[in-house]
Amino acid sequence: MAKIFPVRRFLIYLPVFLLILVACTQIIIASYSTLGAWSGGGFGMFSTTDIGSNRHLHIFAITPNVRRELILNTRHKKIVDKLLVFPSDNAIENFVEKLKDIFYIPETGPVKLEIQVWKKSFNPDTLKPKSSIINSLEIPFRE
Amino acid sequence: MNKKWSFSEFYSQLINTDLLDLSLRLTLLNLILIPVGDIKIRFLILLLSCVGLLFPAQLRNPRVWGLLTVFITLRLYISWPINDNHAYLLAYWCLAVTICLLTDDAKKHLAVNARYLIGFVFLFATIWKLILSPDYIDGTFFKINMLVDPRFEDFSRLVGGLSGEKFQELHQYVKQHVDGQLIGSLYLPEIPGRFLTVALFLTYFTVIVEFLVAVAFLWPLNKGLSKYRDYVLLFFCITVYSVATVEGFGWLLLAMGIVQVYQGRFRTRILYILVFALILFYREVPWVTILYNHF
Repeated sequence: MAKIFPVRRFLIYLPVFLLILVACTQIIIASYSTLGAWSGGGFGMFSTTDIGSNRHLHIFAITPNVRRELILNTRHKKIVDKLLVFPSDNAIENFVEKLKDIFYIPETGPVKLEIQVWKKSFNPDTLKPKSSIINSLEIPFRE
Repeated sequence: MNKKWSFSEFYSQLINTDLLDLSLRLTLLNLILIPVGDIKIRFLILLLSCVGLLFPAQLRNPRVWGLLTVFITLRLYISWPINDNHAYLLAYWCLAVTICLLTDDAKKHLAVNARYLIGFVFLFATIWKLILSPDYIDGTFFKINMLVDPRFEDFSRLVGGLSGEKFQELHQYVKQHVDGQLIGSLYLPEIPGRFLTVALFLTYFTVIVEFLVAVAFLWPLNKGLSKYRDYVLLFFCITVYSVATVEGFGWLLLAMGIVQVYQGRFRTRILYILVFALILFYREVPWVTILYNHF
């Protein structure tokens, strides 16, 4: 068996295989989803302006007649940073669950929350910034 | 016994120290100089690092390294996805040390692991810059980074030739909040030619050196660029970390690199130690700021 598959050699060089596996996975997720190039173990640091600090978030509380933006304070920086780096649908849903612990929800409070994650990019010649939504989701906030 | 310190004795100790021990000590020193992990596991990682450094019998203890691997991996899990890339490399490296210490020739196996890990790190970094990133090779990344990354601020002024006012003007222009397009603004700040030249130079310089490190470490041993791999890596660390002070990454690369230096190459191993100290200098002494203020 050991001759067909060199178990010992595979184990000794397992860290190298893990690095390649994680990096390839990161490349696929970053290319086809919203994971930032700098994160996830693919070694895309210092390769693009699409870093967490060039992404931002808007949170809108929606009631039948009113749409109002909610502002998070710096105490919630960590959960915001995590969302900005990889704002998948799943991550946005988890984020909204955490918001339920942060905000007081009155009986007449918002019915839905809309989460928008924006990414900034720059004109290569003029450096003029613009931004576009990379993911946006409306999620029921109370039954 | 009051023994006088002598340089020759220190030199002799340095060249006689086992490369595996040196590599492990530098790794632990890295963990102590830059404690990692959140408050729950940072203490445990620091404690294990101190145990390994202070008690020589524990330095090669696979259990110490196994526990370090567990805590460092736990740190990756807790902070996912915002971990820096060298946090992943640190976990792979500690795992490699643990596994290799369980084999009959730890030094040899760890050297091969180090070579491949360094080679693939730089290969993936090159792939990102050359192929996958939409805004690296046209210079946009460095133009923006030189304006928004605080580590580059004095460098942008000193080498990029930006006056204080010009830097602030460009900094505020690219940092402004924008949803969609900038509305009603025809204002475009003038970007000095020297700044653009420096940004383009950094763009090509970085990707070329990273590509060379990848090739040198992945090339078959003793052939072609492989013979110069230590010097290419040291050159990368000396130049890149002089401005982009990601000392944790630099120290880790050096700790990994030193284990695969050929046994007889004493000057090379001393260079590794000196560059390790140089990165400490870069971190502690704001030399670019001092130069900027002087000139």
